[in-house]
Amino acid sequence: MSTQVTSGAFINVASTPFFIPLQQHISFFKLKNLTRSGVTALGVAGSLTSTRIVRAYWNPYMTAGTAEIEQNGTVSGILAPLNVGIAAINGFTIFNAANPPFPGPAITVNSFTPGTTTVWTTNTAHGFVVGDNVRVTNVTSAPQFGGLTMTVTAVGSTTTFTTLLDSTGATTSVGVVKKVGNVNLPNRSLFTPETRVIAKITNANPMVITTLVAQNYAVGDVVTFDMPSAWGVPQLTNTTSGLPFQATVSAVNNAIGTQTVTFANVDSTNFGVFATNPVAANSNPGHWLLSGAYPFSFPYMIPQGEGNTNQLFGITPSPLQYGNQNVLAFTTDNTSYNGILIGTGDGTNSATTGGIIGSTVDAWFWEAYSSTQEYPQT
Amino acid sequence: MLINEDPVLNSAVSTLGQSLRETEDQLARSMMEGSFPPINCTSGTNGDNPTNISPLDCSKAVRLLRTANAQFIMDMIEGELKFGTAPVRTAFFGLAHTNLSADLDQMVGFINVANYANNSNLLMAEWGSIRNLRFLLSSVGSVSTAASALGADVYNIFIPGQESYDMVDLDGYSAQFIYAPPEIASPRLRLYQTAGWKMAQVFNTTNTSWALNLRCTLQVAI
Repeated sequence: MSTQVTSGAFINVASTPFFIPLQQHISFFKLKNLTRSGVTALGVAGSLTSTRIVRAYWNPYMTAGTAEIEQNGTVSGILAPLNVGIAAINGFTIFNAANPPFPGPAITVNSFTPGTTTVWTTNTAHGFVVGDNVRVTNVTSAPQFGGLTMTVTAVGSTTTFTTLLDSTGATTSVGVVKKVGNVNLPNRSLFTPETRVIAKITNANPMVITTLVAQNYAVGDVVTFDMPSAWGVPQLTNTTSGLPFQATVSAVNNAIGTQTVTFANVDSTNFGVFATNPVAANSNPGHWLLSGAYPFSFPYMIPQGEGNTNQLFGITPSPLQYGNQNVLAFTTDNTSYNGILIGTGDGTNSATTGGIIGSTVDAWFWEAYSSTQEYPQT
Repeated sequence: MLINEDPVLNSAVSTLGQSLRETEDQLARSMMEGSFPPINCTSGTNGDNPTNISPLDCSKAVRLLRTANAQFIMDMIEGELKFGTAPVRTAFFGLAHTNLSADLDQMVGFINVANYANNSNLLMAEWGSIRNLRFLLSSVGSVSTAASALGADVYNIFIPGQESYDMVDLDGYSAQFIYAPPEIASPRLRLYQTAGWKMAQVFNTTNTSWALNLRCTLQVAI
């Protein structure tokens, strides 16, 4: 019998969850915030800080998303007392790509504020952080949003958050929201990138598409489109030749809150306006369809293959159909990982705003233990 | 007491074979989840989005694929003079979860495999057909948990046309069954032998116009 220990260190991005890919079964996980313990490491100067989580622990018998923590008390000189407690939100989440721990608990939506971006208000503290992917359902008065998954682009308070959904013209509603992932976690489908629901399409040259969930496309990737007739952009669907309408990604902005993909070889100036429905009462040009169109299919961007960026320069017809691309390289790229996600919040164990990683950039040390034999007693 | 056990290795080979094929199913399923164009069933009656599956949704899916020149997978089964049977159209396969079986049975016009005019060359997983779709059901079929407008599970029915996806394996690394006799597995005391499989292969979408992910919810509750 033996126990395998894996260890490592990292520097976090402020207010951003951190994912550590691990092959092994995790029997016990231990994390230390070196910086807030006063230790200089990885080039980050130590700064002993009051009221910050400096140790966190997790084992599989605990609830996902929580952590047993030790938090600094008030610093006195070069010492701080340690307080023991629990981080009830934004702790550790073990991620098994084949069996992800989502969706999370249902949280009641009291209302949303329609606009070019949508601010959602929940009945209780949602615990979401920027970068979480959430799905809204049971949106009674605005059923056209039901089932949409969106990335949280801003957190206004413990009970409000913002997504890129353009809900202009919609009627506010109650509903339900659940966390279904995080942009820092591997794709559910194990392959990269996945299909993405389209939030907006510009009528311009070049065409720019915004996605509801932060995407992970790269320049040179080739995509096709699934554009149901309800959305009024037939130019992105080739229904006669059997060959897909393909477009090569020329630029991406994967920043959360921007989430755009640019196609230099697609001039969409004269394309139909997004969400121009054949039925005038359902039409909502430039925004999301109105409730009268329910039920309907969403518009998607579909990964096709890894292209050759030569297509981007002066080649006609444009975009090339079946250009010189390696269609085997894109959707075959298996990115499945098992691992552990370290949550983010204000760096404390606050029940409403807490989370292990805070708004500072810190150096961390971690150890993951894999027991070859375990004896759970129940 | 004399114990006369079935050959252990024979039993293990059978189980490992199933393990291998189910693993391949799951890998193919994940690839399809990631890249097959999704469309929602909208002609069902359960009030959700997507709705439950209906014959019209099947027709719409087939229309989309055929308009894109996707080729059918299966040939027609001609009608014969047998009571209770019906001909089966040329068809695409619909790859889906076993939880859909009751909803499929509810569809007007659905033909269970027992009612095919000719039941030779059927796959064990086949449940039946409607319009130009023949359904293969598996317990590892794709489900998106709580993903519908009303928060119900969404079932993904993958409908590939010919040549819409393929499988690539490393040279010499397609599925291999590897047996190590006691002389190799435990050379000192020769106490045990091992058997296992390995593969290095991946599934890949080659033409997204020739494949669909028809999404639906259930009407018949589990």
